[in-house]
Amino acid sequence: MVEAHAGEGFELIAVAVDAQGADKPRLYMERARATFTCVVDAPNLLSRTFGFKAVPNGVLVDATGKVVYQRFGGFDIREPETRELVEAWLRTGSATGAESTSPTAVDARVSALFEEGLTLLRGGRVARARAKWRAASTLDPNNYVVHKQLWSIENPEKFYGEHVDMAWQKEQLARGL
Amino acid sequence: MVAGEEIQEGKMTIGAMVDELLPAATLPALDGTAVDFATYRGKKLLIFMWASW
Repeated sequence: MVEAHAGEGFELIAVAVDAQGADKPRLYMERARATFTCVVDAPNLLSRTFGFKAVPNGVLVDATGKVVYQRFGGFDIREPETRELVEAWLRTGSATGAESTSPTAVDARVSALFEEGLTLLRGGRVARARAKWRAASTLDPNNYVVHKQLWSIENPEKFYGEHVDMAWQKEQLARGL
Repeated sequence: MVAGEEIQEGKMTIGAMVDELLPAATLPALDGTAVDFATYRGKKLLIFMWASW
């Protein structure tokens, strides 16, 4: 879709909300043979600025820099309604095909603990980083930016094997982990 | 304060950004170069947030 509309001044920026840095996103982007720009939000800037607790999210911005549509949670460009919305917007400049959704409020204490963990992780203090993230996730288990990041670092085989093991995640939630 | 941002008892609430200007942000691309969202003015932009998990 990006290539189809490239001549019309349309750009896609993919933001990987991966605390562990560029390696995992790079792998996915290479596998997908993606040609669009992908940035990594290792400092947790967008989750804190836009205020979201989960992905996937999509935000449409017009040429003046104004947000015209946002969907937090469940944004999937392969979904017909979403694809239609974006294509209609590119054609007509109007993004009224679907309702925007707001992100759920992020607890500032959770963000602070999460970001302390990010700093520790980058300094190689993995155990201490995990402790910070555990504390953050205990405050708000529904903050999936924190919760899934914690799971993936403690159980990499459930995420980076053949596929992301969603059944395992459901079981963890049921067990309150 | 960014337009649409409210602080409520320790919770940071970002209200809907629709019809507001996109907040400023600069993040590194996979190759390390800095990407400033402001440089996309003049383009129609889709920002897609995802994660490897």
